[in-house]
Formats: sequence, structure tokens, C-alpha cells
Amino acid sequence: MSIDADRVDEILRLARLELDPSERCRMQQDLAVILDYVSTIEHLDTSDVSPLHNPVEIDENITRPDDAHASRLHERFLQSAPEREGPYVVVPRVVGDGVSEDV
Amino acid sequence: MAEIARHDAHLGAFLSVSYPDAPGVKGPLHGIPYAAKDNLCTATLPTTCASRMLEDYHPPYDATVIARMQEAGAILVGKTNMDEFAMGSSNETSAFHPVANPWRPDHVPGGSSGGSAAAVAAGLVPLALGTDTGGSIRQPAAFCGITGMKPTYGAVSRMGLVAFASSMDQVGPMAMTASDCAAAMDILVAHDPGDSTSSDHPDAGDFLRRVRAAPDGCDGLRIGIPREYFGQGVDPEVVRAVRSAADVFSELGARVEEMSLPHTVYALPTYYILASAEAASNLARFDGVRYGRRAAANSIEELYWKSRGEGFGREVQRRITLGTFVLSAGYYDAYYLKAARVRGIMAGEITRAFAQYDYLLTPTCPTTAFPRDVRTEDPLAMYMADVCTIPANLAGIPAVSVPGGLVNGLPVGVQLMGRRFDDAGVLALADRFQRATGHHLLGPEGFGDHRERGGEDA
Repeated sequence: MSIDADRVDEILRLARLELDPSERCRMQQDLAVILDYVSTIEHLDTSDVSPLHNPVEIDENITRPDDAHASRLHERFLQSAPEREGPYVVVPRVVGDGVSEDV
Repeated sequence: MAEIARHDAHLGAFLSVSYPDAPGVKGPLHGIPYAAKDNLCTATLPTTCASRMLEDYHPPYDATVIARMQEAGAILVGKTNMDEFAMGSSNETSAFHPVANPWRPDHVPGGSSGGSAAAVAAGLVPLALGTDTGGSIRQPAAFCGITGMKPTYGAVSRMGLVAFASSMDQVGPMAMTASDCAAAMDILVAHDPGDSTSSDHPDAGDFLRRVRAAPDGCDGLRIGIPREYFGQGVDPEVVRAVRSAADVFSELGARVEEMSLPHTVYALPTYYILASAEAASNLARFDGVRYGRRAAANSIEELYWKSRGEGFGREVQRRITLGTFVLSAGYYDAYYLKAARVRGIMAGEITRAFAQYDYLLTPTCPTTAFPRDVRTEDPLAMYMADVCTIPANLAGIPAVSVPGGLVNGLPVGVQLMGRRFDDAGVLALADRFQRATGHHLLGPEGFGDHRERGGEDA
């Protein structure tokens, strides 16, 4: 199946992936080949089959009690952050100037 | 440690090593050194997933399996190389360096747990942990001539495993023998409240004792050989090795017969749709905000785009893009939902087969190890390396790859699959095969003295 450049751009936008033009072109070609191949399941009759999303039958969500507790790992998690200020992770500003068009 | 230092400069199996003290804990694996694939979180060593995205990442905690191995007295000596984020079948997508196959250094070790397989095959460690989403334990085990076990989905905790495709990922052991794998399974398999798919199935335990208690023969066992696993692209010499394994089981008293699983041909396309969709979703967390690589950027959107564009390698980007496509509006029903339905058909077909057969016998991979660089430009050619291993992941059943002899001096893998939670039975059957054949005793030239060198072809 062919997939046009605009569609590839749209998918890359959804996936938040920035590729340079030559990589984008290559991705378009690879995607076309892979989609051709995976489309072989198209003709199978699946009308009376339920989708199987997981081999384990999960009857209900498994949750833990919603209790607040102090984490001993708080500081170690913060140490992983690319940039921090005290107990906060720093990111470029998300409001006002510097925010890109909402996507 | 001396062996690792001496050999790993040529092999490239390790991404980090530690020089640990003797264990304080006296457990069933007391003092046994082991290596763990670099997608399992370790508090004492970096966890990179062989990706630029996590190049300097030090997890705050140990994965449940790492903690359990430590409690059992095993010693973590290093983290092993892999395909980036476990996406690949040759270890060539590692962002850092490739891994040499100890049997033939210009050939790939398989993947994605290629470092773990090479480290065991070269005798650098007696045991390594791998992970298997579509064959990533079994296929490199086959290429490197060792034993690799993918447990039943839900048997081993995935808490602290960096997720790829959550409905298929499993952690499992890679070792010289099935009984060594069973000893590791005794430690690895346990219910973990930290993993919502972790099972407390009563049959999931006591592996080594059950393997040892199994009779030498296979009287009464019914083994099916699905003919679809011997189709186009399967090396005739690999077919011959699997046939000769079938003869071994017949001689041991099993009833071995050919049968059919007609939907097997759809396993690979189904897998690539579902696994990529799950990967696109799981890898959304790598956004440059809380941990991992962060690109210089002036806005938060730019930070996401650039960090992910720079941090992920080409194969990972390809799978994220495919996964995003099959989940996108207008394509979800035709691709993702369709594939989930086909998975339902395949899992049903396999379950029905196990009403008639106790185990299934197939090749692990259509070929032996291939030379480096020949498949990297053709994603579909690379994907074909997993064609025999994927069905077990789609159905969530246990499967093991055992050495089946040599073809042109390279190891062939034979795969055994069993019913869900019959992991002990699968390992016991593998153990009987190893007691009868000794293929697992062959090792590559030039490494240590733990096995016979070289050997005759199968």
C-alpha cells in the first residue's frame, strides 16, 4: 500500500518524532513495504472472533489502595531528571511565549 | 571477571560490568555469577536498553527479578548488550556496538538478547537473564548454541523491565542446559503484586525438582510437528536437524506426528501490528522530561520532538511510526483491531492443538546465524528471523530453544512449546533431549574450557 508524504508527516507529528528530510523519505518507503506485508491478514474472515488483547484473562482491574505515603526514592527519581530545581523537574516554559502551536 | 575482561573486548556482549563482593546471602544460587539484559532495571548499574535515549540512566530501584536473584545469592556481574529497546533480531540495532557470535565472530549472535546469549555461549557467565517479546530469548539462544526459555506469559514479574509490548514481554533464563534454566526458574517465577499480569498459578513452581523427577523416557507423550513451520525460507539443513530431534523423541517413546496449524502464516504480520502498537504507546514515556536524553529546545513541544528524534535509533523510530499509524483514526479497525482478532484465532487454534498434543516441536529459527550487515537494510528480511518464535508470544505459552547440533559449524535451535503453565514439562522434555543427545555440550573454539570445542555437524 502506498502512503503519501503528508500522511507520514501527520503520523510523525502524532508520534512526536523529528526526522530530517532524508530519514522521513526513507521512513515513507519502509512503511509502505511493511504495510504491504502486514496487510496479508486483511482477507481473513474475523467476523465472529473476539479480539485478544492479552493472553491473561483479566476480569477486573487490579488496583492498590489509593493511600498517600512517603517514597524513599523521591530524591533518586529527581536525580534522574535532566534538569531540576529543588524538588521540581524543570522544563521549558509551557505557557505564554515559547509554547508552540497546540497539536 | 578475568574471562569477561579478556574476551569481551572482542565479543561486545557487555554494556557494563560490576566487581561485586561475595554475596552476603546464602540462597539456592549462592555465589553463582549471572548477567542481566540491559532493559532490566538495576539500582547499582546503568540501564540503557542499548539506546542513546537512556545512555546515562541509573534506575532508582531493582527490577523484581534482579531483587529475587540477589535474595537467592546470585551475583550480578554485568548488564548485557541488546537490540535497542529489544527491537531487532541480530543485536545490530544496539546504539553502542554490535555483538560477535562466539561461534563465528563476523556472524550475528541473534537478538534481541544477543549479549546474554553470547556471554553464556562463550562461558563468561553460566547464566543470563533475557527478555522475549517475539523470540528475543529463544532465537539468540539458537544462534549461539545454548538453552533459552520463554516462560508462560504471567509467570515471571515484569516489574522493572522496560516495557516494549506489554501483552507479550516475558523475562526468562538463558544457560547451558535445561536443568540450569529450571534452577533459575525456581527463583524467577513468583507472584508479584507490582505486575498486574503476574500470576499466582499453582503449577508455576518447583521446576528443578520436577525436571529431575521426570523419567528418562517419553512414554505416553504426544508431540505434534506443525508443518507450517517448515515452509518457504527454512534452511533444509535446519529441517533435517529438527527431524532428527523428532527421531530422538520417537526413540524415547513419544508419539511424534505431523499436524497442522494453518493460521501460523499470519503470526508475523499480526505480531508486527500489535507489538508496534504497544511499543508506540509504551515508548511515549521517553519525552526528555523526567529522565533520559533531553535535547536543547525552546519549547516543551520542541523538547519532545527533538529528544525523541535524536534519542531513538532507526528501527525503534520505524516501530513507533508503524504503531502510531495502526492506532490512528481511520486505520485502527483495519489494522490494530483486525490483528487482535487474528491473534484470537491463532491462540484458539494453538489451545485446540494442545487437546491432542502435549508438546509442539519446531525449528527455533528458519536459519542458523547470518553474517553481520546483510539484513540491516531490509526490515522484512530481519523480521523473518522471528517467524517460528512469535506464535508462543501471541498465545502466551511457554517455549524453550535447545541446541540441536551443528550445520556448517554453526548451532541450530530446536524449539519445544507447551501448554500455558506447563513450563516444568517443557523444561523436563528439553532436559530429556539433552540427556539423550549431548548437543548442548558443544561449545565454540577459543573460549574457556567449559564445553567440548567445535564438533561434527548434525
